[in-house]
Amino acid sequence: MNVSRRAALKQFVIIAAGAALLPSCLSHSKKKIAGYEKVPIDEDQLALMSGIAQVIVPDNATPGAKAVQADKYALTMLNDCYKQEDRERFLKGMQQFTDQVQAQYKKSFTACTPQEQTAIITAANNTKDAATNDAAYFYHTMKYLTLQAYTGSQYFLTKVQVYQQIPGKYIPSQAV
Amino acid sequence: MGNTNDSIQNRTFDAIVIGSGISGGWAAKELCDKGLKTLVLERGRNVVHNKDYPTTNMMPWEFTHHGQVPQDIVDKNPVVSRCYAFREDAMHFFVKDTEHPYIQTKPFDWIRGYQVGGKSLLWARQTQRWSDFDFEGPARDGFAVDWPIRYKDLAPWYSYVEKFAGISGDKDGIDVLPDGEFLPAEGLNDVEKYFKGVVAKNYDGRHVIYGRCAHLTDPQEIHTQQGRVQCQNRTLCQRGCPFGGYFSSNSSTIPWALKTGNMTLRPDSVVQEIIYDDTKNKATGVRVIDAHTKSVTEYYAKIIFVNAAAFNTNLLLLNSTSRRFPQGLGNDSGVLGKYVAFHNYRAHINAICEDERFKHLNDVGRRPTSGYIPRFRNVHKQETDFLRGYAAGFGAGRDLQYSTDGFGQELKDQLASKELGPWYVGSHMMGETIPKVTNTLSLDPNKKDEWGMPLLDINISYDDNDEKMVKDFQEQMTEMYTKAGFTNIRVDDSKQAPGLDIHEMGGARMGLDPKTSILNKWNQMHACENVFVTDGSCMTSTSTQNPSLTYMALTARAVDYAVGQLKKGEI
Repeated sequence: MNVSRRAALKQFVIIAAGAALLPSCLSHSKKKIAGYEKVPIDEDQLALMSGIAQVIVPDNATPGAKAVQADKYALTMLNDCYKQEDRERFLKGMQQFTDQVQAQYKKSFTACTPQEQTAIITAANNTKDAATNDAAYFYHTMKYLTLQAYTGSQYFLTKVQVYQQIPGKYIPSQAV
Repeated sequence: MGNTNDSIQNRTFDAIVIGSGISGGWAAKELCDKGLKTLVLERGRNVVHNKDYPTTNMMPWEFTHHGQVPQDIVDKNPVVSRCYAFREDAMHFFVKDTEHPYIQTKPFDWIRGYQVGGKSLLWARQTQRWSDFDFEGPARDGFAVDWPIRYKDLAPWYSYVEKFAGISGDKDGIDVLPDGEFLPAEGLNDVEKYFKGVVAKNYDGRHVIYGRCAHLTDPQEIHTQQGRVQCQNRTLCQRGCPFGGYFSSNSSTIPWALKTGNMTLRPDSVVQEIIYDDTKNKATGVRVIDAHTKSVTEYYAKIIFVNAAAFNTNLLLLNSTSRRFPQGLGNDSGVLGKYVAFHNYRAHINAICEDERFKHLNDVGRRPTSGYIPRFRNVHKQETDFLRGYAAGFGAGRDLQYSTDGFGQELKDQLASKELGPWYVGSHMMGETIPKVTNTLSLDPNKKDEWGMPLLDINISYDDNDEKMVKDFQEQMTEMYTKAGFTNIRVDDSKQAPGLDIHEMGGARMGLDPKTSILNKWNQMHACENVFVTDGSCMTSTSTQNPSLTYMALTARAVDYAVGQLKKGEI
């Protein structure tokens, strides 16, 4: 009994600590996206990530962020390959980004018109202070991960910049 | 009793090889070729050529993290995570820090591969011969002890192993780096050739050459007999090569030895100690703990080859104590575990080549090696305020260049650009370090691992000689780059701890005098004549060359001697 009480207590402390670290709005009761325990975001937040990725690398005449599942890739990388403090900054920045859009447009990013979204991303893209500004960090991390997903995708490496797994030769200094 | 005797018979071989990496694989092949029933003990799991290369044919997008190692693995394993090849595609071939702890009295990044094939799956495949400028170094410059061999002793054995392994190279006719038995070179590109010309014109005794490498550029019958075919220029070597395009124990020596019918391979077999019989005055076998069941078994043989990789060989010998050898097997001199050394890989220099003549050129395909600059400092005589010198890797290349500014269709267009960036040139140093009595390996008196082996305590550091060499490399290469007109020259000193070179050597060094060395000129223990040590621990000094080729040659030579002695009844 003692052991399980201690375990329960420990769990409670961890949850409490987690809650303390997260911005208050993130701990609301909406269902979290399953499979990314270290990136506790809900469907609205995933939609924001997908929406931003879509503006950065649109699916138009050719495949883009959606086709290469940039949002899920970003989540995977954040969950598995980022440090806890960077994940926290990302989530904090996401909230700030959300709040800023809400303040300016009185609606969410995903509810904005394409023109409004372009204006938002233009502004975010021009920020140079990701080191100190969490919202800028969030955007530039999203951009980085979107590009990583896109340029590392099967589509990109077979149709855009073709990766040759087996060159079969090396010929130095050929005319290009 | 009958059963026990049977069992002892079943556990008795002509020879035992401890370790299956680059030197153990060679010991196995040579012993089996000579008809000896040989037991090969490998502490790690089996890795069968092709069958156990799970990532070898994976495309980049098939890796969940596009090659990156997950952060929790990095956090738990900071040492191995610093190794350039510890990536998502090959991390299963590396020892994780947490699984095999060791003590760092001073920081040392000990990179290990516990599996059949060891680090031969992962090596950089550079195969440069030593010359007498290397073998005569300690005697001339007054450090360590004199090597008991010279180039002429090893030259035929270099040829022997080169022919079998398959080495791509040019005959350069350079005294510091003797030519070998070469398959065709894939060549330097025009920027590298240009630099070669600039260096040759401005300096006596400085050469830029094609780095000789263990790749099949034109497979011969001896290679197809091994089931290996031409290198396909994938440069995914660290995953294990389905073509056997580069030399590894897995693709070459181990299957070869197996085919003789003389080899028994036992993976998951941690050798705890070599058993010394005080009445017979020789080693009689080894005590092995099964890596999984932890059951202990003894195996016996007439001769024992120790090829556990440099530091683990030291650990094993130090742990093999007896009444005769209270300080470790063969350690009458007390030098076992001392005078260990490595290669200094700290400095790099990168630049841009903007020369108009090369703007319309690019390489096609990928080359499994790079250029190489043999040692040019203090070769014929002492000329600097530090001892010895450094070799360097050198390479030029160019990549697609695109901007990631902006977003939307504009960004997509940028990413599709076929425009090439400038030629970059890069070089890194490979400095000789001086073996010192203060650079030591020892056994922790209290802490043991899961298999009952004492933890190895590594106490190794750079010295003033190394610091001077870093500076000299930076200065000399800057001067050479400047003469070549390269721009945006950037030098760095990574300050990395010793170890990431993965060229740790010494501790059971060869020498003429049993009072100051462990092994004689045949890699045979002075004080225990049926034990041979032919991995990196035997190295009296380090020179500047990637050492694997020398281990292979020393091993083949030592087996030839050992089997001869055995047949004559001398051991």
